[in-house]
Amino acid sequence: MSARESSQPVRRGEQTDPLSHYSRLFFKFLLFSMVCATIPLAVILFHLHDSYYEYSGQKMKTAMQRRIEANKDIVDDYFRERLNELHVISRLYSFEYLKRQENLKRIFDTFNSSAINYEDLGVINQAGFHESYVGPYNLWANDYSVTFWFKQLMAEGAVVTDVFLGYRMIPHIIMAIVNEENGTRWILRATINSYLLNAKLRKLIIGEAGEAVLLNDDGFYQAAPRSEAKVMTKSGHDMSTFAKNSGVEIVSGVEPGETTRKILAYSWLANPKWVLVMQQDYDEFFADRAYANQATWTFFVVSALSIFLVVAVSVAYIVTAIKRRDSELKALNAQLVQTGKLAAVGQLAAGVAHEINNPLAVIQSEVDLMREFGRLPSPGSALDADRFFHEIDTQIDRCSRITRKLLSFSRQIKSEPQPVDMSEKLKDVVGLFEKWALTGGVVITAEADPDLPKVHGDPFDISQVLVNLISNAIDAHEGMKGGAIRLKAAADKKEGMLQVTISDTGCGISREDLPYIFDPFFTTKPVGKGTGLGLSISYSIVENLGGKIFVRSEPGKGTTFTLLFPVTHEETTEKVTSYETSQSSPDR
Amino acid sequence: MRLPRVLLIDDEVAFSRTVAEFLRRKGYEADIAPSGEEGLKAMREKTYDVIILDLRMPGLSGMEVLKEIDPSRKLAPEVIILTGFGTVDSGLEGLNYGAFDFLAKPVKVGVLIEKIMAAYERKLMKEA
Repeated sequence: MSARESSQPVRRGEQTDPLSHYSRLFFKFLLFSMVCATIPLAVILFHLHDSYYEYSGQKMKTAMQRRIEANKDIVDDYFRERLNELHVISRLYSFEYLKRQENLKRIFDTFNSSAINYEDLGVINQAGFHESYVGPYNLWANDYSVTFWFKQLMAEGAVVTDVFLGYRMIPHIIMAIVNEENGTRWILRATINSYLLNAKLRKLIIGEAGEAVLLNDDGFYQAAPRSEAKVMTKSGHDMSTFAKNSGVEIVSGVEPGETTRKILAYSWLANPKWVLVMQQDYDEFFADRAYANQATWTFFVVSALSIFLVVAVSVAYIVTAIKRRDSELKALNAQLVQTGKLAAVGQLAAGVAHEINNPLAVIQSEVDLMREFGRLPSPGSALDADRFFHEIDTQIDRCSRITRKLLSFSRQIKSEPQPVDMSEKLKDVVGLFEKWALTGGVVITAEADPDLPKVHGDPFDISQVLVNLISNAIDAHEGMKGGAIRLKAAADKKEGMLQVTISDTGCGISREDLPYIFDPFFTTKPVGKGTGLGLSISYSIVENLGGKIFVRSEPGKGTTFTLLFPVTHEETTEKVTSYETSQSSPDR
Repeated sequence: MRLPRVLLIDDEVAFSRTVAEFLRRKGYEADIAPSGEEGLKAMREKTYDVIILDLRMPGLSGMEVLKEIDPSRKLAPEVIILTGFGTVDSGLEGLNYGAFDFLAKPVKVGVLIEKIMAAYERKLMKEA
């Protein structure tokens, strides 16, 4: 693998990073906008939804309450009418009259003519036996004085029993009243069969899953029109639910094995002591709620989707604009770096001009001296030709040294990234400035740790950074008696970087200026002296290399710039060395 | 008219030595100083008519030496600035501080002598 190939991953990494940067930006914008747009929408919808729920819940309760009470009145009235009928019969007709079978039959037929209200009708004497009876059963031999309802009847004068089987072994209720005639007590008793009660209640049933039932105070079914077999069995209802006179409750899991919610509306009857319970499937009752729910969700999803589309399009547009601006900025930066290279050459020119003009001046004066006095017999001491030639040689040497350095510098203007030996680079750049600085009384020293790792970068770029910083450091001593500039290169093992510090003893940078020194066109030098590009270009060069640049300055005491450069892998530099060695070996 | 006494202040000693030798051979009295401090010291010990002054030197800069000399004073020597770092700015600054002229290195010694003579004339006129 060549040095160039092994250095590829670093560059590739740099290039793919901005792509993910923009998509990250896109998703961040998108997420933020979506959150901002959908949260208020969700809050409003939730609030509306909640209000509707509360409203519909209230409405349901009121409606159910009204309904249960109306129905309770119907059932109450039914029992009261039946009892009234028994009272009417007993007052209109005497015991003697009613004891006769045919009389009782006529009355029974009359009261059952419009609707079948009674199963049978009987007159029972004090002893508890039938005097007369109209109905389908043979009950003549039964002694009713031993039944559970007989004693209650005798005590209270009237009774309506719970559903029970009795002698006939068929579920029914008994309604009976006691009468007294000339000291003799007799009983008028009617029964209502369970199916009659169920038929009556069936009319109250509401909805598909709605149900109306009658329960006694122990929770046993008295009537259950949907499933008559339940009559006389214990219901699953918790009787404490029906604590008030009437009410509407929402309970869940009434039926075993089911967890559906039910609406229970209940109301206690006046007589018998039963409770009318209307049970309604919650979900069925609130079908409109489900519809409202669905509509809300649909609205929310549609709104969120359209917001998403609009936001995505605008965010994509914004991110594209940012991307375009960034690339424009990058192009501008590249231009700036190019300009900076020229500026760096310009900065060098001042030093170089001084460095060349001085030896030229010496040569000129030597030549003038020789021309004027060399050919004539000298009036004073003879001119020393050897000294003359030696001086000219020395000065030509000086000139060529400086032009060589300048050439090596300018050759790098169009160079490629490669491993750069920092200690050599320091030596080169310092060589260009050393003499120039010294004429201003400034001593430049450079030291580098042995075995420094190499830095990967464009050698000219790195020179440019050093030229900028050193020429600034020299300028910082203007108007001072002299000073020192110290350059130091060392490996920063902790960071895996190479660290170069450039410290000067110059005027320093004021606290106010310090934040702006890396801004383009910021300069404290007089008009025409500084471009304000040097540090900003140095900054972008170092950043582009993946390095860092820090500055610490104390006005009046000096400034220290710290540069961190990423180092190339040890492997790479070794390979390069061996590659170069094999190239230059004589047998090739 | 006697020839002017000249002091060359320049850190580039190879240059000032050669020019001084040239001037001496021409009959001038010429001394050299390798720095601004040395130059001021020499001027305290001896009176000069014309000073050839380099601008960029370690220690005291040429401009500071020029301010110290202050050629506008009646008996002050005339100053010719001679520098390798010749810019219009530094030339103008030098003239503002009373320098007689500004020359850029490299310079022909003949031209320099003409300037020295012109400066000396001005000095004599100033004294008269």
